[in-house]
Amino acid sequence: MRKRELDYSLKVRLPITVALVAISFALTYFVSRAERDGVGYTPSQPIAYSHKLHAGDLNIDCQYCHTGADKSRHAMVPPTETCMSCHKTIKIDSPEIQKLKEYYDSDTPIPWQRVHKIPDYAYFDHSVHINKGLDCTDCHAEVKNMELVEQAHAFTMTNCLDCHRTAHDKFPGLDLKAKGTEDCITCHR
Amino acid sequence: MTKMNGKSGQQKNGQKMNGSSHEVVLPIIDSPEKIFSEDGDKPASRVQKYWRSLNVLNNSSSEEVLRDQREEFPHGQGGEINLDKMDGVSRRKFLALMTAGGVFATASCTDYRDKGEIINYTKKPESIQPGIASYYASTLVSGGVAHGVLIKTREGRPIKVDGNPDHPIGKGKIDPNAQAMVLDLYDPARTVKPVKSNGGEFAATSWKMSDKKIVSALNSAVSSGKEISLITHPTSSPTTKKLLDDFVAKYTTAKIYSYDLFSNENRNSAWEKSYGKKTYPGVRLDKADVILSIDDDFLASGGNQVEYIGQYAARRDVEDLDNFNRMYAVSSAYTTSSAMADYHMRLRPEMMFEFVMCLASELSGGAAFGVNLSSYNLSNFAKSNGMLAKKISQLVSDLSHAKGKSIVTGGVHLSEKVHLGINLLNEILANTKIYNSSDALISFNDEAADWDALVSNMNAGRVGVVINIDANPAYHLPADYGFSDALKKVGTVVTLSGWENETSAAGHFLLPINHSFESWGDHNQRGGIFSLQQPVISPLYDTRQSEAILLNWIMGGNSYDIDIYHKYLMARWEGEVHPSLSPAASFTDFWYHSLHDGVVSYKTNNNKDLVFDGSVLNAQKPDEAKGWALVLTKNPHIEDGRHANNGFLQETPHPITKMTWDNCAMVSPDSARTMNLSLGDFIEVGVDGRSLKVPVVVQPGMAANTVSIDLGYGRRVAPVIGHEVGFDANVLRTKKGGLSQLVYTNVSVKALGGEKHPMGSTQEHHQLDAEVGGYKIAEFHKDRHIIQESTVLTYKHDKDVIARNRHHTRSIMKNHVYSGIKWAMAIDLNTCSGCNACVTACNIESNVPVVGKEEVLIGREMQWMRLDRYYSGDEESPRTSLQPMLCAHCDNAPCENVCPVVATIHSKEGINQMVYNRCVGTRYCANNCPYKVRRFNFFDFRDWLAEGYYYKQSVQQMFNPEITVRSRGVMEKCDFCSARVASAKASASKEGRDFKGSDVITACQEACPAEAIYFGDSNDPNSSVAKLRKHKLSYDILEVLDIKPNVTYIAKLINTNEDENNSNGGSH
Repeated sequence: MRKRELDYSLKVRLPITVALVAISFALTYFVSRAERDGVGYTPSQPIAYSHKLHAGDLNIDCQYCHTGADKSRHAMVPPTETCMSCHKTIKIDSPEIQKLKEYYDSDTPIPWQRVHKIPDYAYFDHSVHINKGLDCTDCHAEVKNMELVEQAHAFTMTNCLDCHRTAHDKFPGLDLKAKGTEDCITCHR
Repeated sequence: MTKMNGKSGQQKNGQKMNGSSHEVVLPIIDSPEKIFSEDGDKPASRVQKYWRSLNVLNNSSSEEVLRDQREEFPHGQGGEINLDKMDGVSRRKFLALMTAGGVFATASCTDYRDKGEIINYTKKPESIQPGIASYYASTLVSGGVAHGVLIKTREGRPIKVDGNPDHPIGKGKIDPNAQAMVLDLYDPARTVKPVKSNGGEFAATSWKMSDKKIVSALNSAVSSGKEISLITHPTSSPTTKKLLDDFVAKYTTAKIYSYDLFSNENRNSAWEKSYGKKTYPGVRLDKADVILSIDDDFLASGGNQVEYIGQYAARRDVEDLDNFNRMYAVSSAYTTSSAMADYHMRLRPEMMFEFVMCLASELSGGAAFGVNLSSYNLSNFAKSNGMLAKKISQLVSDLSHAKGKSIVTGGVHLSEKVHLGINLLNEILANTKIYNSSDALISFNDEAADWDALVSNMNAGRVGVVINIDANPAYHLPADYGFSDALKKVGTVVTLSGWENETSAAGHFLLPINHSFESWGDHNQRGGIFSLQQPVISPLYDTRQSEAILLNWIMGGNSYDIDIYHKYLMARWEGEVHPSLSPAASFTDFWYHSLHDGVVSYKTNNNKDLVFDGSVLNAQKPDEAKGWALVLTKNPHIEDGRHANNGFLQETPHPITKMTWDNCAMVSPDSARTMNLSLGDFIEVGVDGRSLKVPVVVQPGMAANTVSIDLGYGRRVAPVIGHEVGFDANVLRTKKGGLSQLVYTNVSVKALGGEKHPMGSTQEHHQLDAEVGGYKIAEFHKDRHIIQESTVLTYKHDKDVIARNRHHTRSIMKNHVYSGIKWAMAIDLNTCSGCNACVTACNIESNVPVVGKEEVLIGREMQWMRLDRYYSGDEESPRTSLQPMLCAHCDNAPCENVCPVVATIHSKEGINQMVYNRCVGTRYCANNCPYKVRRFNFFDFRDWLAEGYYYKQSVQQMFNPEITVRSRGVMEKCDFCSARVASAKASASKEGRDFKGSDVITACQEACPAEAIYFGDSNDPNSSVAKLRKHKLSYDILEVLDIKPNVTYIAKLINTNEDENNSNGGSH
C-alpha cells in the first residue's frame, strides 16, 4: 500500500507537476515577452495630442517638433512654446488646447508620459542614427498612424545589435561606410 | 627558458637587431646598459636604482615591502572579514527585516511599465540644446591668479571648467585648484542664506533685516567717528578696487586692510628698493637658458605656475636638444621645482642670502653696482655648507656663459634682502631682459595692512564695524596680534563668505556670497590684458555677490537687485575702459564681443629701462643658522586654507610627499636618523615658546635640520570635509616673524614618541608588481625599466641609449590586428612636473568619487590617474622621476583574460572597455593588472563619506551626464575618454566629414599645462602619437610581459653636463 503510493507519486505525480510547471513557465515566458519588453505599451497622456492628426493627416515632419533628433542624444519632447506657435490661433476653443494654454500660461511643464525608454546603463544618441540616414520609423514604427503613441518595437540589446550587425542588409539604400559598431563602450560607458 | 644576464643578454639583443631573424629571443629580463652609476667613486652597481619611498630603499628585501609590491593593496586590506568585529544580528531582528523586505517588495509591485514623465520646457532658451554642452568664457581666480576659463555647462549646469585657449596667459590651461572649484559651487555645506548671531547662537535671517541693521551700524560709525574696517585680499579687479574706493568715499571712516598669507611683499619691496618701481614683474622662463631657483617653487605653488610650467616645458623639447634649458635649484624644502631641477643642492633657509652674495661675488669678481662683495667667498661657503664643489663650479660656469640668457628667481617666503641679492645677481648677469616687464603683474590694493593699529583701535573701542570680504583673518593672522579677542569688542562684525569660517564664528553676521560661476567681474592681472568674468548660472541659493552687497550698502541698503553689480561694471567699462581703448565698435558691440571672448587685449607702454640701485645691500649682514630652521610653505592644493572643504583637493596627493587629507612636517633623512624619526612619528616644533605637535614625513632632499610645514590645514571652523584636517602651523607664526613671516630660525624640534599618526600618503600604494619568475625585488627593480632616463649629452651622441633597452619578445599567439583607428597615448616625461592638473581634470570628467582619509589609508583611493614618483641616487639630494600612470589599454590585456563575466574586453579601436553593468566585482582583473590602475568601488563612496555628503542633491548636478556614475561592487578605470571619442564621432557624422584621431582630446591632455600628454590614432602615421611611439626615446613599461601597452612614455633627458658614465646621483 505504502509502496504503491510512493511509486505513484514518483512515476505519475512528479512528472506531471514538473511538466506543468515547465509548460506554464515557457508559455508565460513567450506570451509575456512582448509585454515585458514594453511592446504595445500605450500610456494615456495628459493632453489628447494626436500624432495621427499632426504627423499623419497634416504631414508635419517629425523633426519640426522633435528638433534635437539630428543634433543631440535627446530627440526632445518639444517645449510648450512650439505647440503654442500654432495654437495661439488654431483651435483655441478646444478644451484640450485650453489645457495646453493653461500649462503654457502657468509656466508648468506638461507631464507627458514616457513611452520609450532604454535602461540607465545604456547610452543612446539620436543624432548619430538620424545623421547616418536612418528613419525615425525604423525604431518608432509608423507613429503617424497612431492616435496615442505606443511602443511598437522592443528596445532591447538584441534589437539594437540586430541592426548594428546587419546594417548593410537592413538599410541597403544608405551610404554606410561601416556597419554599426558592436563595441560595448558605444552604449555602456 | 634560459636566463641571460649582463653582457650576454646585450649581445643577444644586438644580434637580433642586426637581423638574425632565426634567433629566438625569449621574453626574459636582460640586464640593460648602465644608465647611471650611483656614485662615480664606488664600484657602480649596474643600473640606477629607483625607489618610491625610504621604506622601500632601506628595507628592499623585507617581507613587508615585498608583500606590498606583490599585492594590490597594502597588507591586511581588501576584504578580510573579522567576525568578532561584525555586529551580531539576532534571529528576531533578521525575521523582522525579512518581513519588512517582503512587504516593501510587494508594495512596490505597482505598474512596472510606468516609465515616468518627460519634463519639457515651456519656453526653451535658444542657447540650450538638451544633450549638448555649451561653453562660456569667463575668469576664475585661483592661487591669487585670474585664470581665463571656459566653463562647460549642460542644460544650464556648470559641470567642468578648463582654460580659455584665447587667453594670452594660460593659453587654455588652468591649475588643478581652478579645475576642482566647480565642486565648490555644489558643495552641500555652502551657506545658503544670511545668518545672524544671537549671543553665540547662529540663526537664519533675511537680507532685508541684515542690510538694515548693517547700514545703520555703518551710518552710526561714520557719525560717531568710529572706524569701519574692510578686510580683504589683494585683487586684480579694477572695478572691485573702484567699488572699495566708492565705499570709502561714502562711509568716510572706512579703511581697507588687504593681506595675503603668502604675500609677495618682500619680493615687491626689494624690487622697489632696487628699481624704484612697485611690483616685481615676473619672468619669461622660455627665454632663459639657465634657471637658478633660490628656494622658489615657481613650478607648483608660486602663483603663476600654469604659465611657468608651459614656458619651462617649451624649453624641454626632445626634438630641439640645443635649446634645452638647464635648471639649478638651491632649496631648503624639497619642492616640485627642486625635483624638476637638473642640479639640486640643499641649503638651510638662513643661508640663502649669503649664498646669493657669494655667488654674486664669484661672478662679479668682488664688487658690482657699488656693492662691496669682497667679504663673500663662494668656495668657502660651499665647503662649510656641504655643497658639492662640482655642482657649484658647474653653476658658476653656466651662469657666466649665459649672460643675458639666464635668470635667478627667489621664493616669496624669503626675506627682502635675499631678493635684493637676487636682483643684484640678475644685474651682474645682465638678465633684465628676461623680466616680463612689458606686461607686469598688476594687483590692486595690495598695500600692507597695519594690523597693530587696527587691533589697538578695536581694543580701544574706536572701531564700529569690521567687514571681512571673503577673508579669514581670525585664522590667518598670527595669534600675538590678539585679533580674535579684539574682534569681540567691535559692535558689528560682518563676514562675507561662502562658508562658515573662524572669523564668521567670532562675528555677528555671516552673509553668503556667490560662487565665481554666479558672479560678474573684470580682472587686469597683467598690463595689456583685461579678463572678463560672467555668471553661467543664476545663484543656486539666497546668496549675493560680495561686490553687490557692498554696492547696495553704498546706495543706502534698499537698492539690491540681481543686476546691480553687473550694471556698475558695465557703467565703468562704458565710461572708462571703452573710451581708453577706443575701439571702432560701439560700446554694446564691444561689450558683448568682449564677454564672448572673455579677454580683451590692449597695447601697453610699460617697457621702460630698469635702473638698478644696489646700495642698500652694503648694510646687509648674513644670517646665522641656529638650531633648526622652519619654513612654512604653501600647499599647492589647499593654499591658505580656502580649499579646505573641497574633497577633490583634499584627496589630490601632494606632488612630492604624496600626502592626502593631511599636512606634515618634512624633515631630511639624515636629521630624522639622528632623532630616530620615521613616517608618522609626532614631533613638537617650538618657536619662541609657541609649539605645534605635528607628524613627520621623512623627505629625501630636505635641507638638514630644517622642518617645512604646509599652512592652510587644521581649520577649526570649517564644514565637515575640511574640519580639523591636518595641523594648523599658523600658530607658530608671530607678527614680527623670523627671517620673514614664513621662515624662522633657532627652532626647537623634539621627538614625542608614542602613537604614530595615520598618514594618508599614497606613495607606497599601487606599486608596480616587482616579482616575476622568482626574482626578488632587491635585485629585480634594477631590471624593470619602469623609469628610463638619460642625459642630453649622452643622447646627443648615442641616440640608442634608451632604444637599446627594449625587450624583444616573441609571442606564440598572433598579434591582434586593428585596421581602422587605434587609440594610443604618449606621455613626455621631460615636461611633466607632476602638477596634478590631469588627475583633477580626470576626476571631474569621469565622475570619480572622493573616498575620504580612512579609505585612502587602506589604499582605496579611486583616482583613475595617479602620478608615480620615484627617487634615485642618494637620499640627501635625490633625483626625482615623475610618471603619470593610467590604464595602458594593453593589446594583450591581462585583465581581460581573467574576467569570468567578460565585463572587460577590447573594442575594435583598441580601447580596453569596462562594462559596468556586466561587472560582478570579482576583482580578478585588478589582481592581474601589472600597472595597478584598476579601482574597485568597495562602497558607493559618495554615500559612504561623511554620511552621504557627496550624495546630496546639489552634488549630483555636477556629474558628467555622458558617463555612468558607478555604484558599489563595480570595477572601474581609465576609459581613454570614450565619451569624448563618441561625441567627436557624432560631430563628425553631423558635419558629414571623416572622423580622424586628432578630433579627440582627452580630459587629461586638455588640462596638462606642459602639454606632455599626446593622444590619437597610432595607425595614422602622421599623428603625433604614432611619431612619438616610434621615437628613439619612447619606451613601454614592463615591456617584458609582452602585454603591448598603448600608453607609452618618452624617456626623460636630464640636462646635466655629464655623460652617463659619471652622471649625477652623488651627494648633495
